[in-house]
Amino acid sequence: MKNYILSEGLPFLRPRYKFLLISNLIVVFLLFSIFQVQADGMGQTVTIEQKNIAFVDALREIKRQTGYTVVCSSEILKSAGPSNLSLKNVPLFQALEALLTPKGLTFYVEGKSIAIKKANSQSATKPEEIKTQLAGRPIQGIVTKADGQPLGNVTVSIKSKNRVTTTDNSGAYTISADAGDVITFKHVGYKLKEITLADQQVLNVSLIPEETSLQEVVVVGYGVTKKMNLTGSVESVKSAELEKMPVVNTATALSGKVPGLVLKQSSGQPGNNDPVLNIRGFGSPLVIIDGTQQGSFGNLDIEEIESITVLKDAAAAVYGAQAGNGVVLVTTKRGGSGMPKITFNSAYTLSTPTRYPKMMSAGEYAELYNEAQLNDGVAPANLRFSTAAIAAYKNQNDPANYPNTDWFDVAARQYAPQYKNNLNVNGGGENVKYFFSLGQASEGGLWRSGDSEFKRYNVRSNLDVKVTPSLTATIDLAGRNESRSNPNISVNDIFLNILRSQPIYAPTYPDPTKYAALGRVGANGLISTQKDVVGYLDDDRNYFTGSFKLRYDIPFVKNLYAEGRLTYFKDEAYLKNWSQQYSTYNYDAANNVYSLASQNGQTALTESQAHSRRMTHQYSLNYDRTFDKHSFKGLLLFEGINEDANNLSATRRNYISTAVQQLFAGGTDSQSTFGTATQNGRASYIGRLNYAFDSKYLLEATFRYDGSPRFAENRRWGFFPSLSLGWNISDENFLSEVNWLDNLKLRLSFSNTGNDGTGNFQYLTGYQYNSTYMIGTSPKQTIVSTGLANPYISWEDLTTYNVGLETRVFGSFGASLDVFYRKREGMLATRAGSLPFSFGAVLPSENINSQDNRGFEFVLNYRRKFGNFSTNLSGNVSYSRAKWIHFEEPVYEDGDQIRINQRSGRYVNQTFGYMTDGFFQSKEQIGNWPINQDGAKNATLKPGDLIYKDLNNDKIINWRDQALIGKGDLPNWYYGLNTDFSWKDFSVNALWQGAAGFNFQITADAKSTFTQDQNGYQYFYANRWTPGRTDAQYPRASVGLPANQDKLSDFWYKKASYLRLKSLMLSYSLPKKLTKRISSPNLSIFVAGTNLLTFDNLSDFGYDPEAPSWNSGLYYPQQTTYTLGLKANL
Amino acid sequence: MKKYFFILFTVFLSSCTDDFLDKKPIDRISDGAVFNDPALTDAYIYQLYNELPLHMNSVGWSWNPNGAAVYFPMVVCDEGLQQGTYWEQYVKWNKGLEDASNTYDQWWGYSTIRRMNEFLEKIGGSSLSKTQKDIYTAEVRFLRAFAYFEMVKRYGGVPLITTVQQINTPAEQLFVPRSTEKQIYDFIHTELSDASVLLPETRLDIEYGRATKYAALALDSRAMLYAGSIAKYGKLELDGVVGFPAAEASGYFQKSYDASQKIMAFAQSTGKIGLYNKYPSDPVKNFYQLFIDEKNVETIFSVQYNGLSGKGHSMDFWLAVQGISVGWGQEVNVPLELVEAFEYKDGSSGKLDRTALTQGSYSITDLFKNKDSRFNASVLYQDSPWQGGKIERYSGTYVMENGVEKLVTSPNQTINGKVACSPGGGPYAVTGFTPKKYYDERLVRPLAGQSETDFLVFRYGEILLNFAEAAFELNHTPEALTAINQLRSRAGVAAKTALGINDIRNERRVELAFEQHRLWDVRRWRIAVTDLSRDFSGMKYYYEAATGKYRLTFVNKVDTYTRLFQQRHYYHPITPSRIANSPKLIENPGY
Repeated sequence: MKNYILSEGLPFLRPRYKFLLISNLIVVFLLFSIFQVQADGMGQTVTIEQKNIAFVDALREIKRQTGYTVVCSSEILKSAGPSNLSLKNVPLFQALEALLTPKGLTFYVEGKSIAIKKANSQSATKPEEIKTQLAGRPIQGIVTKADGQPLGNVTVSIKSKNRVTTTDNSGAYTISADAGDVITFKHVGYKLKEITLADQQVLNVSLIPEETSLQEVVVVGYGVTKKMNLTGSVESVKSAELEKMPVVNTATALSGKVPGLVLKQSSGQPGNNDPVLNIRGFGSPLVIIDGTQQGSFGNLDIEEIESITVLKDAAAAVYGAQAGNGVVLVTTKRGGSGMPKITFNSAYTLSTPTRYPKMMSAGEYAELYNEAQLNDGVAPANLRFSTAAIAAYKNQNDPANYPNTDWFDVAARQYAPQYKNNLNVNGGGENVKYFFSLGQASEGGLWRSGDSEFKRYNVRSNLDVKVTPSLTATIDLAGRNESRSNPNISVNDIFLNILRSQPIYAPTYPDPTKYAALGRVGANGLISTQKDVVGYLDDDRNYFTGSFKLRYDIPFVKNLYAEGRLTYFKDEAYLKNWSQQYSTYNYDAANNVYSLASQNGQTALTESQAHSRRMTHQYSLNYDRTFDKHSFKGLLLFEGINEDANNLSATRRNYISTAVQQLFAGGTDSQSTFGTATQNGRASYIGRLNYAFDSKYLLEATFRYDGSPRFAENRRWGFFPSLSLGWNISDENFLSEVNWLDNLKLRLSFSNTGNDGTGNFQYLTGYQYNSTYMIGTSPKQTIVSTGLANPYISWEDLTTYNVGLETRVFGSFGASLDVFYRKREGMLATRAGSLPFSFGAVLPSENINSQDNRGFEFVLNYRRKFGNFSTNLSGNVSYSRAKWIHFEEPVYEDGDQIRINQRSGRYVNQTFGYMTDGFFQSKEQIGNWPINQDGAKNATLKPGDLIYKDLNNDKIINWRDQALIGKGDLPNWYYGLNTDFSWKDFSVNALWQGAAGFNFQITADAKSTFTQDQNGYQYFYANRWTPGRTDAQYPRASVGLPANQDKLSDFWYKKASYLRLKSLMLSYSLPKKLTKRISSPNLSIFVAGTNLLTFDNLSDFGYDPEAPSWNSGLYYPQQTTYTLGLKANL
Repeated sequence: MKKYFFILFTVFLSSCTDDFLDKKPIDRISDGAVFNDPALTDAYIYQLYNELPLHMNSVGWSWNPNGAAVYFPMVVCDEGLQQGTYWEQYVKWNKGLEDASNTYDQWWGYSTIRRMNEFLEKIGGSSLSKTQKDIYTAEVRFLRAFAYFEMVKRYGGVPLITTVQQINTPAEQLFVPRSTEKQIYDFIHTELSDASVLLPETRLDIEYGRATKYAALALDSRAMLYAGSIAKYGKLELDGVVGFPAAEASGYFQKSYDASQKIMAFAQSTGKIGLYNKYPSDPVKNFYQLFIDEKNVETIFSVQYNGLSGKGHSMDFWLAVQGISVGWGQEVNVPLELVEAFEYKDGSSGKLDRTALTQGSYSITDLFKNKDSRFNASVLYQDSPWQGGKIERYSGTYVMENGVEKLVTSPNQTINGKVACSPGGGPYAVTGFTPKKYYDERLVRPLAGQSETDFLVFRYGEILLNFAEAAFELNHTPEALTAINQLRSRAGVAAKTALGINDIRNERRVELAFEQHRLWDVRRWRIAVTDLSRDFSGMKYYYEAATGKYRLTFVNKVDTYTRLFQQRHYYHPITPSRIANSPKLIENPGY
């Protein structure tokens, strides 16, 4: 603590307490006076008679005459002009008023010091008030962080008395106060704490970090910055937010949390449930983990992640040729300081499909099959089922001969278990900081057999070591093992088999080693899920990242440091694919006789190994310095990447036994091997300059000079600049009176980036090995030209403009709006129309197509605390839609072709199809129908078939009758609402998430019945057209799909908008006195769920709105989960 | 302190930019290497073979690796109908709904033709010997003729492109209009005439499967026969873009006749080609083995397969009979009309007296034992011996229960040790007959892609039929008769003494059944509109537990839809997308 006690002052200003004045934003200018202190002559009056006296000189004179130290900001000192003073033995106070008031300044005296401030600043004090301020008794205390570490620089104030002080490095403070005074503790990044003083003399306080605040530090490309200094559209999600979603896949936890980030989770399969990420509808973003590319982040452990930042506009530009679709930055946790903090998390989850289509029962199946045959014109005598059989299937009197099997129910269990655990330690001292994490997760699959499983282990060690005062080393090591085990049948085929399995067959026989035959098609949904029957596909992947970084603070130049970093990332995969033969049987229950129905599959083993390696070199110079109101930050960086990959696989067949499931044991006659290799690289020079004036006016300029070997030597280097500006309007003087306005900021950005994810080596011609062709007695290698080369091929060129406005008012309400426009040029396409198909070669891809994309993101949040109750609501909505500026296509001349096929100038996500108008109700209606609908004068049509609208009235239905029926399958509206409520030790978090502006196409299996005699959907049975049900929802039954019903039409193209309760978490922190007994300072337990409620249009069908649109029903369904978990700090 | 700085600096300098950017595709062969290296030149040519639709599975719908639906040509004509209706495209085709935007069975082979033209341009500059280059050139010209034949039989006249067009070729040369159908057939003939001179008469075993002189002549024989019959029976339209002047017919028949005769002369003089007759005492086995026994004397040109070891097809997978199959199988049912097209050994009509047959019960093998041996070699039916057992495809069993006769149709009931309804029966035996030709009895549980039976693109039997037809059309009936009787004699069927055009066509229908000829033959004869726009019938077997024999019923319409072949379907559409891309193309009539 520094004391400025120079002498006894005025009686009423007798200094009683030590204090110091430090302001956050003000550079302190001290007038170190050399004037002698006159023991007797030190008066409290001032005499200055001088015209045009400089402000500084006036102050010096006052100090000389009174002995008071004057504290004043350099800003005031510089801006205050000279004065004409005529003071003769004027009391100090009057003298100061005479000097300062005309300049809009005021002062504040404490002890032997005079502080000068602007008059309109809040602490402006009338001299009379000063007297009252100094009353009270000394209160002392220590301010600490939550972990007990002292916290310096905390502003401690008593608002009602305009009294203020700050804590020193040991967190200590002293202030005078009376009982009943409200003492406020304030520090950047921590929640404001207000305490009403009782009669104590010691007041120790612990401050809690603030969750979101303008002072928050946000990770950006190649560095960090304070949120208030951001000039780009950047969203950051902290670990605490991510952890509210009890999921194994980390990427899923971003759902609904980042405005502008669209997530679609198309599969719920364990270990294969990475959602599709799309920033602003741009496409697949670049993912950077701890500064380098290391694959996807879905399988990092949530607990090892500190934050995930999404860069949407110019903020991404520092990644140059790869940044066009935005960037996702994932940052892992690092060590803090102090005692080791051990955190343990554990969660147990049960998952169940959100929904799945219900299939027909045996009775429904038999009834509808006959109906379909009749509809198709089969003679009644030739129908498949007798009336008696249908009745028997329905009433289930004789289940041995007339079974009724729900194959989904037989094959799938209601709930599949999942669990995940994580133990991590974080701590450090002066020289070493560490974070260690060990995580484990397991997801079980849907099948009763238990034969579908995903397991994951994550380990991480992040170390920061101060080698010398100017040299810091960072060593990060992370490893991950993922293993997946599944039946040797693709998920789609398993679902296909379940769907196809006819309900009229029993799933099992008394002899469990004999598998049931299901009629003609050997598919049996039950055995498809069993590894010991069909074989297995085991997949074991290891990921390793090692990163070594040295930071060297360069002497001689203040705040300049150099950094060098090497990151090695390796991904290796081992696959073992074993298939084996199995037989199915028919069973005569009456005589207990089994007869072989079919033998399926073949024993075969394929093993494959794939390796890929990436070495990233990064060398940089960094500078960060503030001069007066000017702050500068600079970065120069070189980045080089080397990568290569290879794989190898081998197959053998004809195993004589299944006992040894190894390659050597297989037959050699049809063995085969395969292997390939690729290499790639990148070199980049990156620069960035940040400049801020007075923290109000912000500028960021970046460039990146990127070289990629994908392109020809003279086309491989690209220059990508960006410029962004920010204006913290609320810091302007003219708004300083507006008390309700906490923050108002305007951001503008422009950037030029690229997308080089296409066109590998297309500048070269040559020949490639192709498949084989048999000549003589053995397959011979063939070669094929790689096609015409385009030496000019290059990356896509993307220009993004973004305007952002963000505000916070009344301390509780926040809002931000970002509006963007992106122009995407040079998209690869082949020229259409310039060459006929008889040319025989496709033109090489050229950078000719272009799109533009526009949209906005809007966020509204409310955060408030009422006593023990606190709430945090945050809603976001985003919209984006892309249009083709130029789509390479023939010049259409036909009006309908222009209307239906032409894409230039049109939105990208538009789908054309036929319009339907109900069903034909009778043969007469078809006979009299004036429109030739099937191209065969309606001879193929039957009652119950769809009617198509003849949009152009030419009396025939053909491609010209198509119209816009919907959008694509990726939503262009996306919204989320995150609500947090907490009361004392309880908290509830609910995340609502939804999407709109996309469609779901009901396809093949779902719109027909009995294709391959397979079972059909119950919804079809219940709502099909029959002569008696003319207001049906679906067409007539048929064996297979009639061509008439197959057209892509509005009938099968459903709006898929949805809103769902994506996650809900209830947590309770156990009271301290309870947790102390088990020596855990913090222990909380929670129950949580995901996908608990969904509102949408597809529930009739049983599809999840996030299901893939193109293969109705044949997918691993999204999961609803229920979780019980605990989190303990040990 | 400074030393750390130097360490960083040194590391930085040691990583030069070039290290990161000096990358090449490491899986490619450079341009110059190919045509001077015989191994790479061969590899280039093998790719051309690979791309040609030599066997139908090169075109259309791939189901599994190497397992395209090879049975397609059988089920879009009167040789078969597909089991069920799930390959929607076949149904659409048979219903006559194919319109201008038809995408099935399209083969617009210009990318292959470009590779061929490129080869022919570049091989000249090769350092290989002239002899070698001549043979290569002839081989590729044969393949290019094959490619044009595959197009002309689908579309009629197509753009005739014999050079490698460049991007900067002037538009008037780049946008080539359709030649006349005649020009294409004439081009094919010229190319084959030239190629047949330079190609070797036979190939070494290690080159088996590559073009020979007689492959070229066989293609000429077939192509010219097509041209002749289209000239005679078709219509000249679009200024000759499709069809021929009728007067041209005999000229083409003559060319076909000549080509066939050259092959027949070689066959007679050397015996290196001829009719397969390894099992003269068992004509059924003999005719069946003709397609299984690879590289036999009857082979003129075949596509080689080795199953799952590299190149396989899926014929066995699709044809596998139910109860033996792997779930799929029995995809093709043979209509009774084709069964009836096979005569009896004595030369009498194969027509069945359906009314009579619905009375009483029969041994099925007895019923068909006197048929043309090619029938029992080509078709499977109830009780056909197979894999040591017999085919079961009865639809139910008649039993006496308490003195009352009852029909049981559940596969889960056994009667006399036999399942009441065979796994291959019930709703799956629509016609009661399935193809046997090309279905390898040795494959017990065939998998997709497992078939390794070579496909005979040209066999001597076809040449005799081509010759007979051309000779007949040229009024050389006695020569036709001799040729036909060679085939009948091998099959153990009474010789013909007189011939009509329908006799020749029927002989072709039964001899070449399931060999991918019929769908093109009914087109070139212009009889598809009548012969394919009709219903087909089938037979159902019911086991009589008491007698061990079968009762028969007939299904008059086995398709679940009505077949229609429209006049326009004699040619495939050029399609609007190709026309939009090249406005000089004109669409075929009726689309």
